[in-house]
Amino acid sequence: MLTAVLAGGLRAAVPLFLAALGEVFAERSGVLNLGLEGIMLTAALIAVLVTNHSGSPLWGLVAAIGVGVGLALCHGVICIWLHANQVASGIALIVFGTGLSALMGKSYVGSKVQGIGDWPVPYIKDLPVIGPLLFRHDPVVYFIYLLIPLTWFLLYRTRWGLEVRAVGEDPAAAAVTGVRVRWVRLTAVLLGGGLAGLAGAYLSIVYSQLWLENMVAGRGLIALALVVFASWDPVRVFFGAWLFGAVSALQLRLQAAGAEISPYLLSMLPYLLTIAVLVYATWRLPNRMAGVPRSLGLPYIATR
Amino acid sequence: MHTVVLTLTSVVFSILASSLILLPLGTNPLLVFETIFLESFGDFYGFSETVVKATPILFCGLAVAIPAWVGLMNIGAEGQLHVGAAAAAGIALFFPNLSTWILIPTMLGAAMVAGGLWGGIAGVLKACLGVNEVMVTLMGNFIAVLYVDHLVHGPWKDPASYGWPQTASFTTAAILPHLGVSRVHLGLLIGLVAAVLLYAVKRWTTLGLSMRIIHSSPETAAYAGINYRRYFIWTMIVGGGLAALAGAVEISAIQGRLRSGISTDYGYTGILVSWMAGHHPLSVIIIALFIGGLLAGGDNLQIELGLPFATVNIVLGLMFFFLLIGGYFFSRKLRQGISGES
Repeated sequence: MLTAVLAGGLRAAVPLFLAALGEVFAERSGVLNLGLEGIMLTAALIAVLVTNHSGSPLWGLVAAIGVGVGLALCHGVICIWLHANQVASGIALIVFGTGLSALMGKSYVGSKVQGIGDWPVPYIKDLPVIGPLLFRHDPVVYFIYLLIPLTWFLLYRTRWGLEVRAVGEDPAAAAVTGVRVRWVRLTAVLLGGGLAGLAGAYLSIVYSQLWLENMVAGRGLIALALVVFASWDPVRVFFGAWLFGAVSALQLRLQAAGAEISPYLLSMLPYLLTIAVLVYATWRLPNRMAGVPRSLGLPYIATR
Repeated sequence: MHTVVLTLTSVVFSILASSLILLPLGTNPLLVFETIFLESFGDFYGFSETVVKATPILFCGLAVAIPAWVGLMNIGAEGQLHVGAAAAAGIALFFPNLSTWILIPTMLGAAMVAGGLWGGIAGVLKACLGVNEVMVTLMGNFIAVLYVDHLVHGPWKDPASYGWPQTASFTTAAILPHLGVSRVHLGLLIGLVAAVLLYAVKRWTTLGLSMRIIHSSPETAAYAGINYRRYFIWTMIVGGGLAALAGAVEISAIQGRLRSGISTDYGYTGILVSWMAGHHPLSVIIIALFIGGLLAGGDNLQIELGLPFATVNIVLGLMFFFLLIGGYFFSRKLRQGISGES
């Protein structure tokens, strides 16, 4: 029972994790991208279209990442160079993405797509507990196992990662030391967009293998909560995503078992936890890295 | 004046740009915009539906605008709307025998109190601990929507509803009076009065002056002896209360019961409306009417052209983008880039 919930939770966690991981980089650089939902929706649809036309889900994934980067580019330019309010631009992206994907996907609603199926790892899949828990999934899940250490290294052990964290904390000081604040921020936002695109594609061509209008169903917003919940750290984002995913998997099972507890009240838990974590982080750790990136949401305006 | 030019420019650009998106998809943009605008503003029935849609948007636009006066972003109008709807429905369901004159004011009052408290949480957290109000109000949306879902699927579900997630119908005493034969209701007048009152407060009282000072710099305000924390809390309370009224009047006058899906993202639309209006309460009225027309047009697109309702979101989203882009070029001349002001 527990293994099944955790294994199901892992799959449900993939889109949350990918989107939130990208958002960690964007927010660490000081740019809030509230528009993940819009990016994921558009990418989910493009993945279906390209997979259908090319016959290869791999091209679908690539196209979805491209779309994510493209939409993030709009958000990045508007927020970084034009100093627009990041929350407002993000809302615009959500609204636009919802509309565009609904209109473009009108004739594809409900049609199956030949997506990416499960690919259990030979031998390892038969290990007790670990096998069914971690190694009987689709290739994207295995890709995530690589992504966690990779992004950790990128953020904490490379020059670019240091620059991202620096421009998110104090862009003026970073600029003095020769960091090109705006370009660093843009690259972080683009990375975030690409990962959000992959998250959307995962939903449509791997997880459910069909397109439905508004199928992201708030996951882009949940990913934002997750970033706060995980205090802007890639590794914690993974475990947070798994927890969020497990809660939704558990909820389905409880519902099926006819349990008394309301699934709606249960679904509130992640959000309540997120607020609690946010309050705690701001209250107890105001000046530590574990808290909010200090220049999050503020445009960098060069003075000369 | 700047706001008017900027808003009109972004409307024109968004229509042009969305035409460029519609054309290659095999949709005739002229037909689309004709369907949207001709029916929403062209005849009496269409216009009355526009006003019906504009009513909750007006409240939500004001709910976003007031905290924006002191520099806060209220993303939580959607949740505050749901909390208000739940409170009003609770009164209507549990005191069905009261007369209209008592019942309706009680429903609206309960909604305002509940929504005010809900919004006030974010205000208190921001004022006392510095917690980011964007995140708190965003989380609040999920919690409130889920709570309404819980109510209509569980304890308040009408046993006679054949599995539909909704409460029993309200008694006629709980239905807000309609104006004439249309579906336009008293909520519109309440919203208009609220907008005018808020304009008066902002324009002619010291409260309005204090809020302008806080917006430019809370530190300066503190030096001037203004307790900005109190303003943070109260603007969020008033904003939350107004968004709650949107929910209360919508379920009372339009739905006649509480059910899931009472709002087609009115709360998020309110953010766009408030920004397009430059957070000015009287402009919010006009913009709410315009956006209400677009949304009513979305229904017509669905019925007459078989296009998804969300097609209008393309126009809305682009409008917001152009507003933000244009805001940069307008404000650059005025002052060195303030992020929010348009």
